Amino acid sequence: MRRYPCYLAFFLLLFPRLQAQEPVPASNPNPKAAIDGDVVNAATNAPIPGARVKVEQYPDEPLYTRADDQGHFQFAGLKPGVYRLHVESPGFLASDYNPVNLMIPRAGAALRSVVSSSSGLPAATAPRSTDPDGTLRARVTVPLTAQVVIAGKVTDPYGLPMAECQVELLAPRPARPGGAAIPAGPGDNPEVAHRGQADVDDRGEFRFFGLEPGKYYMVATKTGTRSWDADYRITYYPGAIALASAKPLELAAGQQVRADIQIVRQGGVRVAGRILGVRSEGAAPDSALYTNVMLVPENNPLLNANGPSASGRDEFELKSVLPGKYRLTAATYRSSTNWTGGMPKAEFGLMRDIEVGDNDMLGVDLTLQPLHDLAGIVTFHEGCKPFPIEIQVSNTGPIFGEAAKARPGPDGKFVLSGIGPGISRVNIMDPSYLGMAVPIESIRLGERDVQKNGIEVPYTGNETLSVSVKCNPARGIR
Amino acid sequence: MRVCIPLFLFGSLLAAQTVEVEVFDSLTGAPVAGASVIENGAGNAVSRTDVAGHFRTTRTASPVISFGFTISRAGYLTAYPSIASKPNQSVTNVRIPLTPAAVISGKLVDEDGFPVDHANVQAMAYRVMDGERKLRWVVSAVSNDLGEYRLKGLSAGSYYIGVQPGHARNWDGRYVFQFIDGALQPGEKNLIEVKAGQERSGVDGTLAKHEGITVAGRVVMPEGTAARQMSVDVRDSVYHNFFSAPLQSDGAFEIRHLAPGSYILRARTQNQSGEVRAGDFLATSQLQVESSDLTGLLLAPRAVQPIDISGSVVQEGGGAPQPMMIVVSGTYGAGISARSAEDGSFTLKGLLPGHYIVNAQPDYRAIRTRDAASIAFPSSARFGEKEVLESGLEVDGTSTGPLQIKLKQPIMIAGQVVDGAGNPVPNAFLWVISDRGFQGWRIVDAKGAFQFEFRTAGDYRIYAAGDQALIPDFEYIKAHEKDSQAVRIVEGQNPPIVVRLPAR
Repeated sequence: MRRYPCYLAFFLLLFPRLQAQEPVPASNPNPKAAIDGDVVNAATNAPIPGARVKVEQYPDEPLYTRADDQGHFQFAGLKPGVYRLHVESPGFLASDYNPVNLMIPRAGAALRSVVSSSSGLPAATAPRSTDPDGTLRARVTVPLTAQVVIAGKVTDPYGLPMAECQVELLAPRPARPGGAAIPAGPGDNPEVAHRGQADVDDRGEFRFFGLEPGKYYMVATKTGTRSWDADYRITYYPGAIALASAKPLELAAGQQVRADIQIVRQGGVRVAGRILGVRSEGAAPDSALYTNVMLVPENNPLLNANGPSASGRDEFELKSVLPGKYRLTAATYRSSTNWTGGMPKAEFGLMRDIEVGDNDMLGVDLTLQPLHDLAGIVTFHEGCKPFPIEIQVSNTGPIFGEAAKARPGPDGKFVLSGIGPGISRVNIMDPSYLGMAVPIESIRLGERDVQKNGIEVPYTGNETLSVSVKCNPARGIR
Repeated sequence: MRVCIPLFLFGSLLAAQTVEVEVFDSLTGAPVAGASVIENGAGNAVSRTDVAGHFRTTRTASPVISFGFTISRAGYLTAYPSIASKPNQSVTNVRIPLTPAAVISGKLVDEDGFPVDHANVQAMAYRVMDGERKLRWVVSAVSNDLGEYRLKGLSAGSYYIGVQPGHARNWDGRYVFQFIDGALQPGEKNLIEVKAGQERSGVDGTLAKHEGITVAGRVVMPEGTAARQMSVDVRDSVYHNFFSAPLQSDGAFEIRHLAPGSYILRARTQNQSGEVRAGDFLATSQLQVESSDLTGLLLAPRAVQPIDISGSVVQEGGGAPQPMMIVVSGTYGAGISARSAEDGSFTLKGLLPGHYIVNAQPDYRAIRTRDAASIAFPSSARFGEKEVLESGLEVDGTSTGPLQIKLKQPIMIAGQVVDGAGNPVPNAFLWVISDRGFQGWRIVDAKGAFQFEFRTAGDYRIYAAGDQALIPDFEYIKAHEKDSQAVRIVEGQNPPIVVRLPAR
């Protein structure tokens, strides 16, 4: 909503002619509509010959055409209405689905063409006019941006192709339309955000394509299914073990580069200790309980935590940990021979910060706490009609799993079950509208604001989650 | 006592079990250096083979007689050998073959000559699944912006190359699932053969548009409920074609460009996940698409309620039923399990409509015996009139069973391993495989004799090795089929099996 006046000003600046009112053809009761268009390179304005163009008006079948040698295309004999126009050509980023308004204007109404771009790509422009025979005609210029490609190869410390590896692409946090970066959520790295990932093939080769111009960091990481040698390190291009010393690739429209990564090998220290608190005093050892211990580097920017991990009953040992600051998470599960699908539920947990130096750290005793269900209540703003919502709590890592979900009863109360240790993000969704986010006043755990910072698990047993919901504009639109 | 303790400690220090292995290329026989070796269950520690293809690992001596490993290197099929040893003994000179992987690669364009990106290209082969011989994907790859795809990690064989057209499909709905030659059916022109380690490049394809037919109709909601939160989709189970359409305000829907085949048509409450939940509205209908449009279809969704299914375990030939653990798992979310009671009865609680795979295993917590010969396995599971053990259970919210599971004792067969001269080979190792994969292994006794329990009648292959040297690697045994011995197991009595060791 806020963007509208902004974009309109931009539009009127470019096409002042359109401020004039267009004569409404009273003589032709069944006017036709047409689109004339040009596809151009956004950077050079050169025509893009042979580009393909689609217009559609749901639920009718789309119409297709190709641009000629001058990048020009035309659709004639359309019925009036709003069309979605889509253009693509190999080597270029596909256009947005641009709405083109060819509605018959109401008598006396000023004629406006609608063009918008939801992404950062240049928007198409579509001034329109009326032919002498009453045909409504939009003249569309569609700028396409040449894609950026990063291809490369990942090798192991011996120079062999690295199997069981994926490459993740990071970019500075995207800006909101106003210009400020989208803030990091709980557990996110404040500087960069995940932008994509690619598997390597049997030659170690990968290829990122369809990228917008910009600044990218690249990192070779574990796939999550296979262990690496303990001293093989997640490696940022061109050969760094931390984001701070990685070199970004700054790429302009149309640039295609090769960027290879060789996995760095570097030894670390041992971190070991006892696992305590997972059985009641005096009780016989419960051999079915095992505990996973994981370290997540501070401000981990990666999709998977990828940190060192170990499993044990009474003790744990992480064999080769690099110096640095970590968040240590431990979760105790019950091993079961009866696999019934789904993620196991952690019974005990612990989360704490730990700084690893240049020496082994033995005797790091972990006292886990029992994990319990989290009760809560939803309240709606005064004057709002309550509507169905779903509370979803998902871990930001390293223990990824199904989100804990709950729907409040008529009294607004709910219980969330199975939240694993770590920092969890709380999302409130409208289950009836394909998971649309619900406007939130506040989410608190006890007195703490957890909307911004997330829930730290384990929490104390007597805290409850209170969710305060604003009126939902979406409920009024449909 | 004083003497005893240090001795005991000393003893346990000495009693380390070492496994020494050489990894070699199964085609050339050359050592494979730099392969990653993960010892399963040992903290997943990774080691690497040296230039001579060797690695060694040591663990505290134990009566465990099998070491599981995962051995991989780019360009080879990953091997999962179990190395067997006698209790508390070290194992040396084990040779493990890695089979070079085959690759099929090529380039895809559409009818405009545009490269097709994000296509899911699949190497497919016939496999027995859910009791039927079906074309299934074995390896898949996604095409890049140049239309290039690369199917890696293939074992030797012939594959149909299928394409889920990815971006081309977004552009034009007429690009439906098809084979690399543009055809809708598997055939000789889209069947590609590769040998071990072979790279077949240039398997290019031009995707074709298929007009298909249109399926149209209306969703009629129960009185007092609105259709606006519903969506309609069709899917086929073979190629995983999936088409969905939102409903128009009057409940009408239209789905275009369906290729011939059988589909399941559903109307359901929209939600984020694919899951159907209690309280959602759902209607499903089987659809056979041939050459003409299907219009005027009516779907009448009903509210989904979980149901309980009761059942019983019956022992073939009578007698008290063995305790069983019954697990049914659906396409989404967790499975539902139940243990059978003393009289064999059980109840699966809270099943939502959907397709479930039925898995019934002996409840080892409740079974006293560990004698393989006396542990029974299910031979059938009937839900009403339908056999569901292999095809799966269709829960539609109306029928509640019963689900009857019949158990059968395994077919026990005695045998002997002999050498070329017909003399028994003591302490030999043998592995049993079938079309369904690896079935089990044995160490034969000092007289060369063994017993093996086969769960079903059918064709099996037995591979024997004179020493603890090899290797139930499925790929390897497949590639050395001539060294293994075919046996056909029938119900009832079978003659003893004589397994001849292959000549070294």
